Amino acid sequence: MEELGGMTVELRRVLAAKEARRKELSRLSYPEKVRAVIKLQEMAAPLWRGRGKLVQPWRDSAITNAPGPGKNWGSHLYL
Amino acid sequence: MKRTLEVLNELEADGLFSRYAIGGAMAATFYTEPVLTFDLDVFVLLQPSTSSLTSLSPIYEALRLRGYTEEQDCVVIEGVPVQFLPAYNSLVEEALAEARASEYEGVRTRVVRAEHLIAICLQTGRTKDRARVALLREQSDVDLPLLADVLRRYNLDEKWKSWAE
Repeated sequence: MEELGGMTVELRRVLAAKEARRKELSRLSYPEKVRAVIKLQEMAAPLWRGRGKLVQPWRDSAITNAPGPGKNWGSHLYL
Repeated sequence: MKRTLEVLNELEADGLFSRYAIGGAMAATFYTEPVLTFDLDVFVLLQPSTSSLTSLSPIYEALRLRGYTEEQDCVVIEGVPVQFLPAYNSLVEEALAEARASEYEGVRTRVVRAEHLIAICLQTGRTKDRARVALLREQSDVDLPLLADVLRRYNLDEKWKSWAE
């Protein structure tokens, strides 16, 4: 596999895509970002509870009524 | 969160505080990619009191009467734990005064400007503040002349430079 500065071309491409995705997320509307935060809370809460911290994802009617920022967006958040 | 903001607007209209603005991680999220947090930090400018002590008790009491409960340092308003932070110094007072007016699903609100968020983070100086500054620097459209002015007035220029290194 071709390497550039110890990093493969493929890895560089993946990192660039992640960076672009983060920029894209920063341009979402605020309500869309709030929905993303709630999604993050849902993912993180069990881990926090496992460490003895009592946390609860927010209850927000908007999350059930409105479309999210895109298909499978949650899985890209912190890659 | 829409209903939470409506309740905050009601409290402001009722005179429990003269002004509020979203701060902390949820203010940062306004300008950057979404970041994980479990509470909503709200800076409040309390009404002038005859006592020299500023107290959040009237706010907590008003919320209790509306049926909202306290959990640790927060009050859970419509499913969102809200942490009220009284304006504790002149920088935070300025951040409140100059907070950006916005709307959340038709509900008016205010969000601390990115430049003030950066200054508050520099002043607070925790590890997570450093990470927040890095994110704001990278992803928000910071008004650099305004930021420079704020940092100069609050003697934060050196810290800003050292955090940038």
